[in-house]
Amino acid sequence: MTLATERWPAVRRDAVTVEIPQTARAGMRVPAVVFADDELWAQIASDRTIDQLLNVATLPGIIRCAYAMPDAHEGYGFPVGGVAAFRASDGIVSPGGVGYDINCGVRLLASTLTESAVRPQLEHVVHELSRSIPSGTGRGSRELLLDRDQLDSVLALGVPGLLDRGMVEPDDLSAIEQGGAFAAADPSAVSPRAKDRGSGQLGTIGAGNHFVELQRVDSLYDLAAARAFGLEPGQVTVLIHTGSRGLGHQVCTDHVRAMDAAMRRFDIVLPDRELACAPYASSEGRSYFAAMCAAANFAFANRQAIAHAARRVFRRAFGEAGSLRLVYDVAHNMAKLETVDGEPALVHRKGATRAFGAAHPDTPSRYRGVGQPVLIPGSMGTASYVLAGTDEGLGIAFGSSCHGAGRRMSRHAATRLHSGAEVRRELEARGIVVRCPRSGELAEEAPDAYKDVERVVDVVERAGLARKVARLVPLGVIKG
Amino acid sequence: MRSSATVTPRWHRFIEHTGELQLRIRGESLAGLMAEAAHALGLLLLGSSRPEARTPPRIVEIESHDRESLLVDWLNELLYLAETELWAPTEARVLEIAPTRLRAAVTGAPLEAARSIVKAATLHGVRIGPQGGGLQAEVVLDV
Repeated sequence: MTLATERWPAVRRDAVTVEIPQTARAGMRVPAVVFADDELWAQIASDRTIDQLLNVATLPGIIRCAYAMPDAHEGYGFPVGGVAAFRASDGIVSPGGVGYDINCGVRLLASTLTESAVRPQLEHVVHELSRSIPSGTGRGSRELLLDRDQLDSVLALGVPGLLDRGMVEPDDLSAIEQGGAFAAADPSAVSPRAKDRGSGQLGTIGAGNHFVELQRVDSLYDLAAARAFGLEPGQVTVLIHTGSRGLGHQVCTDHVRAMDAAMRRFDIVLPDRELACAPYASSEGRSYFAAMCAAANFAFANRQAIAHAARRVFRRAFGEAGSLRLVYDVAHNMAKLETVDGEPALVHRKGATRAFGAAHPDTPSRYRGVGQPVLIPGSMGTASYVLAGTDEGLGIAFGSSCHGAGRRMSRHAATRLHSGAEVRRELEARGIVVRCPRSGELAEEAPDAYKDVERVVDVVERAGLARKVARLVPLGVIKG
Repeated sequence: MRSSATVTPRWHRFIEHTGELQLRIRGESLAGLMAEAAHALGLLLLGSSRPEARTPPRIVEIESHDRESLLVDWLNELLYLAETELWAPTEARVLEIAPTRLRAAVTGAPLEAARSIVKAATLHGVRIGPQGGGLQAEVVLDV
């Protein structure tokens, strides 16, 4: 079925898949595929998401297709929700395919408490979390101020670099994508300016759509997977969404600048300068990859430090019953060296989550029977989902899933429709405790500024990318 | 936004972008454009807070390989200073300018620790072109 659009010759392959053929635009090396039903397609096709996806399809060494997840929206360089793999042998690596917030990601912690045990102290716990976890441009606590050697150690080692600080529990490392450490990280590839930006930011959530949320497990869909993930109905969980902070932003800035200057030498013609890239095999490509891995290690350590602060707050509030077990930690802005069609490839996921199935060797052993947990935060005040990766997803989109609900409205449009006070009132009327240092910014994250997360997750499941395990609903939000 | 008595008033506006912020700037010249870009970024960073205190002018120098990357590098330099020094630019006086080089004296104001920060200025769709006897630029900011 051909879809009515004047801009691209899009063809609906099935109820949740739209293909734009390689012939849609000169220079495309592969087709583009969007996972969307009719309603999500209409939203995705309304801005420049598809133009940006077709740009990705022109990049050297691209394999199979350029993919957009159902939460995709217009970004810069790659669209947000974009997934593409490039042969390591003759393909590129692109900072614009990862984004400025390198290893922005999500971490889920599960308590043994139910809502009825937490509710009497909810206001207090949310307040204490907001005091312990700085937002905005706020700096981390004194114990997390790192000198240059300590910062280099975190950049090189990731979460294991925090072991001697008592911030890592015994089972944590095996519940973090990549064990919380990219071995290819090289702190010397990270500029002093990036280190200046990051040195005081460990243990901070930053701003924008970053948050820490207290939640309750509302529904289970796959009981075997829920059991493996340790999730039960009514259980209170903590979801952390943040990344590599200013350090990662500066790594991307530095390497986009260097690659933009080197493009002529590589004889690569780009439809968008923000797609600045370099052959993975080049010194520029290797340097970016080493710096990106270091920034990703910083992001893993950042979420670990925040989890440590949350664990302290829970233990103070609930004693021994306040333990928080790490379910999983996933990246959703990364380029990773993975095997695609039998050869090494740089899989770029920008606003997309790795979703490996039960049999994949990189799925942690404790989840080997069910697939890796895939964490999908909804918009503020709406449900979040825990999914499980599928083995067939590897053949569909390199083992990838969506990363959230995905914006459908600009920040300005959201603030024209809502005030921060109104959003706060609506959340509080539903019993959700909110902490946000800049109330006006609550309007930018109003639930209707995003796509319907239920629909997004439904498309992910119908497309075979991941399957639903649990639905989580918010009790308290600390907005970055 | 503000205007001056020049042929093309300095002017800026944030235009619709689903995921990020797109900044459109006008200036009577490349120097005016750069000064307005700094002013717009400062207003964005300061938000509703309007601190009276001003820091003494600081000299900021940038070299790039064309005028579009000069604009992006200029904004990214100001963002680096904003984040590392909790400072926001309020006014930039361009002392020297060429398509690949900028030297400016920048006055600023303290930035509250709780303020939201812009991650970076990007090269996505960046353009500078003639507009009404002056110049107009567009640049996307990652927020």
